[in-house]
Amino acid sequence: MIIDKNGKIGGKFSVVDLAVILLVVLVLAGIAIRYGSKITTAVESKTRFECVIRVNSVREYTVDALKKGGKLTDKKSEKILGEIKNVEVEPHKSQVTTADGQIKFVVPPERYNCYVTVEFTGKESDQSYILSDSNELSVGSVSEIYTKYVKTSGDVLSIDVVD
Amino acid sequence: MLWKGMIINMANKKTKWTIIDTIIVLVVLAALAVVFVKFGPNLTKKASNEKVSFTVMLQSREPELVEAMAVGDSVTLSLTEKDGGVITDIQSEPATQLSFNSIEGEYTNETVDSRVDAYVTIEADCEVTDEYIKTGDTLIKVGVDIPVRGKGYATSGYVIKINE
Repeated sequence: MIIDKNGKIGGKFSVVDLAVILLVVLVLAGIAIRYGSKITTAVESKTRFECVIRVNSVREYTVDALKKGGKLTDKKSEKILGEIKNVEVEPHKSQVTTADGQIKFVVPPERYNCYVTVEFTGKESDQSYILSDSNELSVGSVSEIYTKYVKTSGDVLSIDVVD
Repeated sequence: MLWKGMIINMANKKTKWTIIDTIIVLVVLAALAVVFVKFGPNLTKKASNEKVSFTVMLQSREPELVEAMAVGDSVTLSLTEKDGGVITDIQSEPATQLSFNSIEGEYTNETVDSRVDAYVTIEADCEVTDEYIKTGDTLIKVGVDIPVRGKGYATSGYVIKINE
């Protein structure tokens, strides 16, 4: 038998030793699977990028809260993702179809669009921009905005790497 | 005597540091590092306890609901927690709703019969940091829908204003 009378394999390793080695191999395999994907290869850390997010058709309450600025966080307000640098506001225009079939852009009362400029710190790879909460930031996608004062969301319009 | 014997035995026993011991130490250090990265920021976060006043909008509700509420009522602001606040002001007005007139091709705010819009101001003990304002487990942010439960009524509404 390989296991001797002292419970050691080949006189050197115990079962506990093997269990520890197995645990370490599993942990390393887990790390390789988690961080070895295509998305996170060739990642450049701590990249700063400036992003413009358009928040559509909101009331003045949301406008005022966005204008207070501050840090952007994840959903649970635990991780800091970036900081609001600027907020520009314009009346919201809504595309409508009238009774006679015309398509028009009309301005509803008390509804605004906010162009929120945010400076994020995250990671940049060949294929994507990744925020500190591991979510990707892409032009055309919807991004959640959580600050100390407001929760809202908007369309990502542009992303530029800050030197 | 027994303890003395054990100490002598331990002293005489030759301990040998093996690769396995090194691996165990590394695993423990890695685990501690993961715990620190995961929970470290929360441990070092500076939070202060303050009374924060905020306004919740109850849109297009039955007038009876608003009549059931009164200034001075204690209200609970989550479904599970007992933490809550006190109503300090209630304003109500006929409910209006954005309506599209397809003939004229324009939006107007139209009054909704038999409904009211209410603005309930609540003062609550909150945990305040640079990142959030929280009472119990409920985050107070403009745009968040929070429960408002008092004696004999239960509803929810959007936070529209925070007076820190």
